[in-house]
Amino acid sequence: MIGFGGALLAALGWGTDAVLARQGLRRLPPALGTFLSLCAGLTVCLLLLAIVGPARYPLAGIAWFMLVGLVNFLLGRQCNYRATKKLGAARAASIFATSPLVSIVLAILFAGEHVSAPLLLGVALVISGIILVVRS
Amino acid sequence: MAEAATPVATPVTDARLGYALAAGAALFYGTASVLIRIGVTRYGSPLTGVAIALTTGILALLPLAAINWRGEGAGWRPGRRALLFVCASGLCAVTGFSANTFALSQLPVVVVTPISSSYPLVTVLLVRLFLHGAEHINARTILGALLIVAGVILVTLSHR
Repeated sequence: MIGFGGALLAALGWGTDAVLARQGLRRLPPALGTFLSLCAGLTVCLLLLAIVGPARYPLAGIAWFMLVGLVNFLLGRQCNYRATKKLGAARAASIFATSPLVSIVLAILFAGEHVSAPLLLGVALVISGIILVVRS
Repeated sequence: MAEAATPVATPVTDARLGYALAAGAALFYGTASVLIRIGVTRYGSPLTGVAIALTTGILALLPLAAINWRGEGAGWRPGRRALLFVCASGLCAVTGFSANTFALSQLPVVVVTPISSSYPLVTVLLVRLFLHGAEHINARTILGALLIVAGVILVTLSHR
């Protein structure tokens, strides 16, 4: 039951994120907005770490998550905020939601995963959805 | 949440750039989620990893944020309301990420993903409720969001 609550909270958190960002970015430049939102996120993260205690990472682990920071926050979140400012929350969030598709394409390309009929049907649905959102 | 209505200005070139940026965000988020999965498997403790990633993102963004600030002119200060919204947005994003990671530790992906992937529908609902004067949503937007969510769920389930 608590797991269901977590999944629901994730949908609520991500779904609300775009709407709040859209409002805040009306009077803030995107890079500054991204920077401030990350500072707020880090504050919560550090509070949680203070409760559960940080793990010891080897140097390679630190470097790995620094790479994650550049890809996810410097590039991903900045594109997110700039897109939200230009398109609005609903259209932008619909396109961001296609990100699992990228993960799966990477798995097919680099981990030798196979392509199945349901996967192709899912991709067709996503593309149809994107066309509808873009034309709306 | 509903401020004075200012519809989103989307001339064709602006909209094209917006969609390119949104596609870029999806590309980077999709890549990052693979990197996170590998990183957590190798090194454990997602929270420590997220703290390192957030700190890196903040340090890398600092020069751009400073340029943005200077670009607004001497004596400019961000409005309290804008600050509040943007910081709340950051908190919601971290909540979403942490709750999803927690849910995945409790339940299988096939249960978690269909629920957590439905977030564009939450966005559409909130826009309808709070931003109806500022952002226009029509039947195509809603149907498009539904198809994307359904497609992502199908792709994720077929992959597992």
